[in-house]
Amino acid sequence: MTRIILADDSQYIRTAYRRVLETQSHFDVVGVAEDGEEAVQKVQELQPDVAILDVRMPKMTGIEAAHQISIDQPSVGIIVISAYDDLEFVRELFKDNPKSKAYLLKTSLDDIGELIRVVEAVSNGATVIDSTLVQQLVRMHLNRTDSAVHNLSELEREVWEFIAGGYEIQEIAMFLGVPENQASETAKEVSIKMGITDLGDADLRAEAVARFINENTEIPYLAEDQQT
Amino acid sequence: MIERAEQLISLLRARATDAIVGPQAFDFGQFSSDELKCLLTTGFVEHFQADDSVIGLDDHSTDLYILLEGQVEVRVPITQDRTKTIILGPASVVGEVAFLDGEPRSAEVIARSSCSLLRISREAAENLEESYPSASVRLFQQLGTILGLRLRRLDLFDATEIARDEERKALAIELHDETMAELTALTMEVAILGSDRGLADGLRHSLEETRERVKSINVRLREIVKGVYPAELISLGLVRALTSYLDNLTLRTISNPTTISITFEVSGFASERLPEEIEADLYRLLQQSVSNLIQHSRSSTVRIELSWSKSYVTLEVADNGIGFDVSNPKNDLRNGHFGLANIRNRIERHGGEARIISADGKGTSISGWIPLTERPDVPSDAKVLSFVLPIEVC
Repeated sequence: MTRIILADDSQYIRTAYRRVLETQSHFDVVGVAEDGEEAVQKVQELQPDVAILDVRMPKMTGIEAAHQISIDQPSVGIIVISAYDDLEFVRELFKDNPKSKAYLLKTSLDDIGELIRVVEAVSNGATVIDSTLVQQLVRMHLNRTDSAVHNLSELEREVWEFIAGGYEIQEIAMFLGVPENQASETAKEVSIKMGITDLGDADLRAEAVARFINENTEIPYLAEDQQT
Repeated sequence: MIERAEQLISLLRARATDAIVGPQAFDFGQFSSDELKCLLTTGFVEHFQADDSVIGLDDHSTDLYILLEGQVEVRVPITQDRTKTIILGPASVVGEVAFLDGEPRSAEVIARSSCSLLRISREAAENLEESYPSASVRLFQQLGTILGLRLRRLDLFDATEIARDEERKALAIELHDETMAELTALTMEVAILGSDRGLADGLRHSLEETRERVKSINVRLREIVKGVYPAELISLGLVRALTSYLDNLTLRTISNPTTISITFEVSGFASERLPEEIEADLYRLLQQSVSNLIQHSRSSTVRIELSWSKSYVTLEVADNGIGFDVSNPKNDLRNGHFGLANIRNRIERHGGEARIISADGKGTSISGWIPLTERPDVPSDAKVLSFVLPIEVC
């Protein structure tokens, strides 16, 4: 049973999420919240597996609530849903620990399968970035002449995009039409090329995604060479 | 002819005419009889029939006209396709702007009935200065009073503009927070209905179509709201809103080379924010400039610089496109319902200055400079973002 808490200040949205999630018999919406503070409180009280937070809520934003929850209950998976495709938010969310966290755009919600998939992925410890943002990131990386993305082959880049979207190796293999072990090997290659070597599988992927975000997607500062 | 004119003027002086004389009327009563005689001899009385052109937009004339009898219609171009029309009666003044600054005509004037006007050229006014200074002073006093009244009206107009912007913003917020959220919830509901296994194929198909339709309504609404007042501007500030704008720009035109590369240089912001109205107007400057250059300029390179110094902020958009003739006033009003005139207005209403530099074949630079309260420190951060826009051929 995956226990879920929903936090959004719009009643329409909360109802819609609940209805979507309840189509899955193993999902159970155990609580709702209208603002960030209430979200933190309910998570503490009810100890769910996953918390779905809107990025903009009264009293405390979704990102702030996410950080608080990470501290109070580090094992809770967090999905932040946002209308903004602003990468700063994504960086903020993933900055301390990207494991079991997802950043999803409101525009992706009309595919209800997506919400369900992300809840599953996050409760299994994955790190997920909305596919629209993944596209954006890839584009930005390709615009930079010194990005490691240039070292990736086409297949590697595709695998990379799926990893960033929080997909499992089996799913990636299926989408790309390649055998599972090839997908797995390619994923390892990609991580090496992105400079991550010594973490366990899920951690490695989470780290790789975080790296993707945190690696400057802006050309280095003019004033001094500072890395964020 | 002059006698007739004299007659008309004494009637106007005595306010004894049937015609309605407005607050912006030329007050002949301020002139002594001698001064009036001088004015009449310096000027030239002209007669027009209904529908005659008194002042044309492409005239190179700079004469002042005072209407003595009859009615004229003033047509002021507001945008590329819209004109404001005003009917004026006796004692009204037309042509005064070009008379005072020597620049091209800003409106056209057409006789509505048969009418008589006293025409005074700039040279004539100069002669008046020498031969009868007090009449000259009186003339310019009158013009000053009339223009003063107009300025007051413009300040009032500014206030209503600002109120209208506020309204638009409130509308955008409500649409974004409520309507779009509701539509999202609706798409999800429809999707749930469609996922029911027991559905007949036809029904499932219909539901799927409905879902697509609601989704595209939401997408379109998002575009509209973003165009009216982007949520990013309110919540995230100018720099991030501009970055998001540039990131989401797609080009749908065949008039450009295959790519446009844009550099966006920002300095002095760190995480501080400018006053909201200034952020909104600078955002519009960029939005309008970029929209113009994509549509018309055939640029391949664009440089955008946003810089916040100690006591002012500047935003410049420069391209390497085909440019345009800045001295042609028609160009001020073209390019959609905002246009360059609107950019100027939005910068100047904060006490700033807009500079538009362009020439045929020489690219264009549009920049706005706005003074601000001096701040104690200027953050030394600076960054350059680079975008390469692919073209979608339409």
